[in-house]
Amino acid sequence: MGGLLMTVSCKKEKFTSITTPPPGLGGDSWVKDSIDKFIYDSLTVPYNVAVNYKWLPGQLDYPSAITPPDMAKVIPVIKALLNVAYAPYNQQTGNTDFLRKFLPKTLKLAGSAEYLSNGARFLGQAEGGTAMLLYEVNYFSRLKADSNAFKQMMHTMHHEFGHILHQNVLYPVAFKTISTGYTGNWYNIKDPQARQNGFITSYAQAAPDEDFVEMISSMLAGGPTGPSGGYDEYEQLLTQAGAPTSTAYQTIKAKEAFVVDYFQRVWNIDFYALRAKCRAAFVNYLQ
Amino acid sequence: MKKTILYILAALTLGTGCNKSYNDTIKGKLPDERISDALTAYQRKLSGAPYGWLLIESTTGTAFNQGVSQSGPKAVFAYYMQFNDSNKVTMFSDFDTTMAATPKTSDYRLKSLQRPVLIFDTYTYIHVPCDPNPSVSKSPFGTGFGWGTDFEYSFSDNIPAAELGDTIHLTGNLNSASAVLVKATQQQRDAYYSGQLKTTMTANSQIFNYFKQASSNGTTLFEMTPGLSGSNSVELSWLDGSGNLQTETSLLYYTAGNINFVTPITIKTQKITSMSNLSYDPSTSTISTTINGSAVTITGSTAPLKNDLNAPYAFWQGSIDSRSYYYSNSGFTVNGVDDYYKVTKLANWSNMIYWAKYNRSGTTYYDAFAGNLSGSLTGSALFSPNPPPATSTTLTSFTPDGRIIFKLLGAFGSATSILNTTVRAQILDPSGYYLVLKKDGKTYDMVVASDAKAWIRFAPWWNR
Repeated sequence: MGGLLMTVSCKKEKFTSITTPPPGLGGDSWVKDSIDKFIYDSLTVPYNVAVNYKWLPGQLDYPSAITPPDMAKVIPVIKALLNVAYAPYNQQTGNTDFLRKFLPKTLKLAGSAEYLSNGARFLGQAEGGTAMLLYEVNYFSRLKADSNAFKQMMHTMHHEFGHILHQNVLYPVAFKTISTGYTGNWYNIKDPQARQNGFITSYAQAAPDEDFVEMISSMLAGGPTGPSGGYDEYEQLLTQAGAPTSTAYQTIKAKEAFVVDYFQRVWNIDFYALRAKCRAAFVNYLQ
Repeated sequence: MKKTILYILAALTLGTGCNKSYNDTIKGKLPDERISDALTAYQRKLSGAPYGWLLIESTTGTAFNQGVSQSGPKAVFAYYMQFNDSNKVTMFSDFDTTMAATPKTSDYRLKSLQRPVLIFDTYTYIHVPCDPNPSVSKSPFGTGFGWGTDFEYSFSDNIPAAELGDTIHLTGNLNSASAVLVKATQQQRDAYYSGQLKTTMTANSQIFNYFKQASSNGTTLFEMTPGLSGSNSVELSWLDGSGNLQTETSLLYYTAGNINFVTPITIKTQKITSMSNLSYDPSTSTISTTINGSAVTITGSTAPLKNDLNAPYAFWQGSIDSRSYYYSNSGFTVNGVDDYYKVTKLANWSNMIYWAKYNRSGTTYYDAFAGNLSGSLTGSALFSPNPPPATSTTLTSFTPDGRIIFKLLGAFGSATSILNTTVRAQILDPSGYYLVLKKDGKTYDMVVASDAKAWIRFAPWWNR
């Protein structure tokens, strides 16, 4: 048998090496404009991050009704990210090394949200530490009157970056047992109600990973459906949990301690100092 | 036996050994090179049209999101677009009058997927009707769904790019909307850039009467009423040789200067595909246009071309027979403004209903013409009418000339709700209402008889 197989094996007569790369190798190309130059200068060079703002079939969840970003919104959104989300990290760590190392290498932008059949919608996604996706870019505005939407975007951004961090180094497993009652039906729970259950937002009640990053993002950028009805700072959100003696309040405070400790021990970042810088950056950026 | 088979197999294998005598190029080009060439040819085709393209897009009536589909009214949208050779496209749209007058520039790209595709890869007018946010798309398909239009299209003419003519067919990749690109003329381009699309769209919305009559040299040609897809459709009615009313419907779209019917409508011997050079004259409140080369004047009319005398009673009896109600999602349109009284903004709004003989008070039956606020009624309780030919000055009644006049018995819900103030005043208009049965044979438009400038659309809840 072995002999038979040997005699029927192929012999390739000729081999010509290619002298030019195959067309299309390296992805799509298009005529670069000022947006592409801005991205290259402000994200690709300093942070080694590529921005996919143009619609690429199949790149986002297929087959979903999602629209691409408006050209006019791309640079403003990136500037806001740089000033309000990234700059505080740089100031706190002293240079761009931390972000350069941990920022996901692809930032994807979508114009609309992604609407799920259960009535919820995606505002952001993080993919295994390699890509981060921000939705609703087309609604971006720096105006004070629109600060809710802006805060939501920053909340999303810190949420997704939080995922990247814990996907690199996991938080202590004891965090997962602080609360019980994680549920896939989190979207049926209102945010204030979730706070009374010891979760900072209703989405935090989805899973321990979400709980952890919702704590990070709510402390850095505020959280939804606070006492004002819109996005409020973390301290105001806490008032909805109950009195400082209540179980819910203390549960959230226990999670806060885990987050602060995690940032200090794992990343050598003073979380409260970072938070102060994030808040100042946000307020200063509003118009 | 087993051995024999093995030997045969071995012999066969030896006989078909590898002798590669072909190469995988066609005319000396590898597949990658041919794909690249084809995309370049498509790109040249698009950017090479000196006066740009018209793109007319028609939906299938189905919209997809996350593998789930929703069905609803079909729609057609029209664009004018100019592609350049640096991946930029500039366009106008007939979605609304702002997009009709302000050109917007965005990106486009050609890419090879299963087929060569044209992608509008940053947001522009063509994305508006497929935006999953209904407050942007104005889509009635529900949250997460647009109208079922697309912005990523496959070229669907099965011929090489170089052989494409002045008409190019496209099929949407997500919703399978079909689009056709037609090379524009210089005259068409100039018309778009001089704001004629807005003029056309505005002209058609200046006459507020529900009934619009088109006439030529004093002869009435036909009557236009809103179709079932709202402003995206029209119904044309005319009297045939025996004096009977004939009605046909079509989706429509606007181009600079023209209203175009997707389905041509043949009135007697005249086939109508478009109305050209629309303009509105405020001094006479008329629209002048050209149909098949002849000048036509369109004026508002306070009464239908031929009223269906039995329609009000048939409408009312329909509710009785089914023991159910008619519903309207949007309330009254008055002077061209949809939901003029803003009922849809009310808390817990579901719809407006008409329910004949809803209940009785003692021996007196009453009809409900009221807002349904998540299952509780607010609005007018009307005296139920007696069947014609009986008339009455106290009860709701059917007039011999085919109107229904409502009389109030009492109120449901809060007396201060707009449903019991402004909306009630509208309902109790002393001239009463015409009922116009639409082309689907079950939807009625209730049109105020005084000036035909207020109307509400009712569809049977029991036959949705």
